[in-house]
Amino acid sequence: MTNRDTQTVLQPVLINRLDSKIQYLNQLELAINNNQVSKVYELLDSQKFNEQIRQREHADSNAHLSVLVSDLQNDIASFLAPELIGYLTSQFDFLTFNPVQDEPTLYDVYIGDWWNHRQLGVLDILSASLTLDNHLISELTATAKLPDGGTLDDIKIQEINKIIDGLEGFLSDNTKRSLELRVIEDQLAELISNKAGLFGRGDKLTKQSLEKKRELLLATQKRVPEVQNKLDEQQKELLKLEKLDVLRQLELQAIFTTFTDLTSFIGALEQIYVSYIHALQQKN
Amino acid sequence: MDNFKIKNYSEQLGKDLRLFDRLHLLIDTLGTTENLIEILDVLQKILDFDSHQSKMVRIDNPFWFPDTHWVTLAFAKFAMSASLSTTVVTLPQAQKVVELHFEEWPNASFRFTKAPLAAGGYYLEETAQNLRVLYWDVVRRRFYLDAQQFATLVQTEALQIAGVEALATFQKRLTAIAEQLAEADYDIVLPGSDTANQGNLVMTQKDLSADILDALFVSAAKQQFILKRIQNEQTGAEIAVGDVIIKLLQQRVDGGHAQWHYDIVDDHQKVTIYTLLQQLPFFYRWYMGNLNIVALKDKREVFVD
Repeated sequence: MTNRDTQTVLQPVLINRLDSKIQYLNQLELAINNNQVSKVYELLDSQKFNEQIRQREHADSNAHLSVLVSDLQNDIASFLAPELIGYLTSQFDFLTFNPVQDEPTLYDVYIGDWWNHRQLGVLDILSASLTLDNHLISELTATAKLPDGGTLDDIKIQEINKIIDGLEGFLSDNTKRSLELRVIEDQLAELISNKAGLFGRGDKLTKQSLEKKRELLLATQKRVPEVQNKLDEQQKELLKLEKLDVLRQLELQAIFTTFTDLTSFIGALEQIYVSYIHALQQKN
Repeated sequence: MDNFKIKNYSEQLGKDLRLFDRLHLLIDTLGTTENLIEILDVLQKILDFDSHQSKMVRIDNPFWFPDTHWVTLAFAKFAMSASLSTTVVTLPQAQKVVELHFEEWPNASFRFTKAPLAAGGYYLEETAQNLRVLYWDVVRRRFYLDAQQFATLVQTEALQIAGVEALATFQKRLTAIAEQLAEADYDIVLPGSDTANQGNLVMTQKDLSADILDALFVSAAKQQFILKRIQNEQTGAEIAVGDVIIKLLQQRVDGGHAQWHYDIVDDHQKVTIYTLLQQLPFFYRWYMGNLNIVALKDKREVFVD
């Protein structure tokens, strides 16, 4: 068999494969040209589309075709993002979506627009799917199970408040201690000046007792900076815990304005792709 | 033994009497004039009056009053002309300084005390709480609000009971007095007291730590208010309180620092930051807890305890 013969035999297969790629690109071009967003998603991942939208089990992958536009992912994401973000905002009006810098395919998703709002996950525009922060979800799940008004860190907060009360008490007693110290020093000075060194047994005992008290007070006063530092630390820790509690409460409040429970919220997040494509299809 | 010369005695007596006659004229003018520039002029002359220039005639009896008395009386004239709400001047028994009673705050009284400053000047204080409202320096023409103590004062029971309208009336009175003094070339600093100027109220310190904003977030949330992020052409946070918005905004300044300020947004221009401090316990607690940082920047150097 000559080279030419070999070429002739292989030609149809190759042309077929090229044809399928050209056809894929043509379809994608047409879908984009006609703003057929649902079709674009189908072309980007036909296996997912067939399995999840058309309910066909074990559908074939078209990864060998979609790889053709892998260098255009950012542009395709920029094309798809506004509509997807618009849809998600209408369905989850308490979520905020911020584009990830230099990553047009990704959006950071936050719950709420309040100070220090926490990130719920990352939205992938090309797969219309959300990767959730499991730690946050498990915290919310635990909080939702608590009785009304209960918080995850209740006990810790109570303990820290007790510690803070004690430390503040110690610091507020400092004025009293300073006055006491001054009185003792005056008494000692008087004892020394009156007796000019000739202490009787009673005076010696008084002096010793005053000196012991002074020593104790001075030692206690020396602890003030250390106690102040500890108080600052505890107040910081308290603020951290209270902030987290407030965030969890606000997050749950926001979720429950739209969803009856956390499970249906998480379910809705996991079904973004399906619900979005269905919404697009209904629109058309 | 010196000779006693009747003529000399008579001349000195005449000088002394003329000195007191001048004081009499000044006090008479203070009582009768409505011209505010004249009040300032007369007050300054009364404060400059030195009774020790009189060699023979002495006023040392219950009718001799200190400078603070005359400053309070002169201020009363400004307060009266600045507001339709009446100002009553009383002299409490056994006191040497009159007290001012503003109609809007029936349970509070005010008078001036001497500021312990080399530069002189006087503090207007609420008498029951000893809380300062302002500093008045007649000589150097300075009129400054003590933003820290005024914030505390508006939270006291006497002023709380009187309510929002009363506070608004008092603030209008202060603003109107300041306008009059501005005509006499006074340096006026009354941060946050004018309902028409509630933007760019600068905080005392630059660079707020995240902890301070976290504390406001937690404090507000406990009262069902939400501190929200601001992310547009401005950077900061805000709390909506009905129709009013408290904004905390930062601006980059030299040296890599951020200067923070409040914008109180009220389309009706009825509230000031002090109204909010009076009406929102969470805001007041946070403000007082971080006073040296988040209080309005005022002329702290003249407010000495």
